[in-house]
Amino acid sequence: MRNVLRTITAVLLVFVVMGPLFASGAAEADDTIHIALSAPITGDWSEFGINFQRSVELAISELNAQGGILGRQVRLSVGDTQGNPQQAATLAQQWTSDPTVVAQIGPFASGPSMAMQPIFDSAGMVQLSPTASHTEYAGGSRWSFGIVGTQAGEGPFNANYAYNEIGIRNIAILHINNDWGIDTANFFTRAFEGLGGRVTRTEFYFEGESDFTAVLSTLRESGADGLFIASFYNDGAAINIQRDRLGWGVPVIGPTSLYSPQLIALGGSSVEGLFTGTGFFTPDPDPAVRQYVQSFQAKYGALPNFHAALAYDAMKLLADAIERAGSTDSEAIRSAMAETRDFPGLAGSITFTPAGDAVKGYRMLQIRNGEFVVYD
Amino acid sequence: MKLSLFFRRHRIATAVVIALFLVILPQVLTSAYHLRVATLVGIYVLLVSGLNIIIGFTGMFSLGHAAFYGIGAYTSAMLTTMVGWNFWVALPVAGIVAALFGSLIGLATLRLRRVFLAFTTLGFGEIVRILILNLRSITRGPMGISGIPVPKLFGWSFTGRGYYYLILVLATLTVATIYRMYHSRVGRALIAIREDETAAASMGINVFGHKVLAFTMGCFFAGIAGSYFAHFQRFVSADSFANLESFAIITMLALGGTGSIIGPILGSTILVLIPEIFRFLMRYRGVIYGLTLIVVIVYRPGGLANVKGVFEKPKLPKRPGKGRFGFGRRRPAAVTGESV
Amino acid sequence: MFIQQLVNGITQGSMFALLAISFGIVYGTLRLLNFATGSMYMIGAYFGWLMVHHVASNLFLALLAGAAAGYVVGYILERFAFRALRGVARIASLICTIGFAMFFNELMSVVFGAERKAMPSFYADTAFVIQGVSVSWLQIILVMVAATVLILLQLLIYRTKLGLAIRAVSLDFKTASLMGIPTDRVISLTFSLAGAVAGISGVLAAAYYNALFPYMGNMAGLKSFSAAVFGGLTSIPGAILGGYLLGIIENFAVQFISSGYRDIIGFSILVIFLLLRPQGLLGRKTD
Repeated sequence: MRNVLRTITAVLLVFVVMGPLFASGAAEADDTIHIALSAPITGDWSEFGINFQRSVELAISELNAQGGILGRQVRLSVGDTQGNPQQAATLAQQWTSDPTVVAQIGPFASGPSMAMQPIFDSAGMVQLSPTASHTEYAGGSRWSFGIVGTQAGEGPFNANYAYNEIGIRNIAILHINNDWGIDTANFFTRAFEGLGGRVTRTEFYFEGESDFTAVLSTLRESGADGLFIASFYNDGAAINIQRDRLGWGVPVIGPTSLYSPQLIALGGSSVEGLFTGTGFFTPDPDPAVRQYVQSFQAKYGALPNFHAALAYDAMKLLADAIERAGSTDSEAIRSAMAETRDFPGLAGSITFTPAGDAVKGYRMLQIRNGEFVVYD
Repeated sequence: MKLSLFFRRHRIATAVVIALFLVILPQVLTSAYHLRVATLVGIYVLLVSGLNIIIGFTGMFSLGHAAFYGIGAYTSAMLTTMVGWNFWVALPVAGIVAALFGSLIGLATLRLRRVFLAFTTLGFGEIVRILILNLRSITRGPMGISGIPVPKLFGWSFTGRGYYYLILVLATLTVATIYRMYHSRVGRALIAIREDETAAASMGINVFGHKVLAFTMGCFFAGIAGSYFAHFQRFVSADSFANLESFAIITMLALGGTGSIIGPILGSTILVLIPEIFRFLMRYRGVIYGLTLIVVIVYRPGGLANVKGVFEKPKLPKRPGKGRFGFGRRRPAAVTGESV
Repeated sequence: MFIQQLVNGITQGSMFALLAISFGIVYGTLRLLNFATGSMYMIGAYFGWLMVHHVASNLFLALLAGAAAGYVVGYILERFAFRALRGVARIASLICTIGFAMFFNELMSVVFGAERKAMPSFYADTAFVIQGVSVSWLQIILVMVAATVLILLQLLIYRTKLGLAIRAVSLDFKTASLMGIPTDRVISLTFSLAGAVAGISGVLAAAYYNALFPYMGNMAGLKSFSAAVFGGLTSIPGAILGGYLLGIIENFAVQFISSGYRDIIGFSILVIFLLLRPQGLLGRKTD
């Protein structure tokens, strides 16, 4: 008897579990414009994914308040990638299977973006990643666009500041060991050596590392008079705390991903004097930025960072492209997207290269008295 | 009448019905998303069934199965993109390379038992992942490998349905092979080793040789799964083969039920579907998923496949007080001295 | 440089050692690999942080809060899952620990937010300088706290009646219960102790790195597993030795090889070592 019950329970469980899956594909025909967002909402990268969701939702509520796109309201579906390429690809398949989805924003990291790419490519759907910077990403498909700006543009900018403005001649590099970190370190090295500087030693660390003392000791021994860190702000804060503790007081410079109000909150006095390039910063007097920062803070009780601003830009750019295309036809949106010229994003203006990468402008910030200020 | 008994009496009919269902499924699943989910189930059937040979049949703890999956995926990806091999040649080669690494770990079982073997396999998984990331000149490191070609058969490129039928064939072959092996001399030897190594050795079973064999076989299927995955996703990176993936595979095995043929199939089906169904939970998905896992395991520690019968021979005797293969709920609460 | 890496190694080793102990006592009594160890460490850190932010900015109170939180979590784990799973195939309990790890990590991420929190620094002043390497009071406190906890545990297990019961349960569960030892309570207490030790380690790590986040336990849990295996899993002195050795080896690996190989050097040395001495550094031959 018990076995029969168990069997029935198991069978029922399977059906209950499978039922909604098959029902969920039903398309709702309505008059909205359906946008999909893929981001790591849970898992190690959820901090970034949740900021994506917040920014895109904010952008959509603003768009809808202004009458939507093409006079139609905008509807958002959010999917969780967990930062896992396989999950991301499944999600891509889900979006492309839904005939109402017009275009997709996301995901956060390059790996998942690259795994999603073949699916968007064969289905013909615009994939607009706010942050994917893999050198093969945007060029991999005519449907893929990235707005973060490649390191080919950012590397020389940072190297120029490090060499000419700050006056570093021998620099040590510490980078995170992912595609972005490697690119950042390589382009910086090339540009810095091109200016006549010398890279004393390059070391890297893996995602999830929390102890940098050993590697910093090694870098210090290399005789550098400056340190370039290609990492996100949370690792950046940890690196600086431990550098400070070692008593290694050299100028530190980093790329845009270092920029976040969180860097100061986490790093405290150890990040004082740090240089970081950015396309976006919260005290920016630009009215669009001010308005975004204020509404973001009012709605979520936190300050946005560079990645969040990029997600906002992505949504606004997509809306703009659909308006310009004049329809929700994928091919029309794609052409309109490719033709984007000087779109005024919060994190710098956006013009796409033929491959689909954006060329961005940067500003150099320095942390002084616990605040980011523009460095001139 | 017991439902399981019904299934057991009508094994052939059941098998035919299931086979028909699986063959017709792509005609029913019109959405490419559903088809992809079904295909993913197939990949995990390969992985979990392979791990079942190691953990379920032979009783050796392996926590690094994703490493062999990754080795297979990278072997195939590198052979097809960098050397220009054909998928159909790369597929078996990927399986063989993974099997070779598997036999290396199998050799370690000569000295390592239980938890130390578990640790070694976990460490091996981590070593493989970091080597993939560090050996940039060979594996392209964190850049991953993109542009992996779509498999072709007589000039026809695989698409959604083609991929589904391919994994269906591979999974069927895998399950059938394991089924035959399980009911052969080798299978019985493996189970004897799991139940009592000393007794098995004194019956003349080559314990060490069989352990190495079990690892080799299990990892071969993981390598095949990896190769398929590489050509299915067309992009591989080390993120897909971290120890979280190993944990996911072993969770599927435990949830489905170790030591049975049907358990891995059940486990992979359910644990591929659940996260997809829980998508609407958004931020709470991980919380609910973890909770579901705990509840299911506490409620059914032997795994769901105590619904046994469909593909198992009816006559194996049941031992009182023990689950059928020693993995069920054991009443006399012996905490220590268990093998798995 | 040598001294610098040695100091780093010892500081990190203290945290590894504590976590390894937590891992080791659970394994010792139940033969269970507790992959939720990292989660107890993370929860300890969060409660320590709550104490610092909402009650009193004192490291020692934070340590107490972390220990208490870990104690409760350890109890919950045992009471609601592992008690029901006792006597069942060990793979079920193992999966359960994985489920708990996932559950707690995501729960804390939902409750406290996924972003990192800053933990203020305590006792960051330099205590003394050896050959140009400065050692802070915090580092000394860290080592002292680790040593105190380890000594107390050692005393508890080898000098008290309760310890005798724990050892009896760990040697032979069935016989112990026949001898009138309340095995359920003993096992429950072991789990809680393991949780408390992990919680303390979490607070120490948060204070040392000035940061905490929901997934901080993943890497730490893995490292503690290594350290515990190094020492032989069932012995407390072994786990201590394993923790410190792992900390020191890793730091020297960065120095002499490359930071990219830091993690696998630890693992590789361990695997080779295990092949030569399968029972670990101070483990018992029988296991």
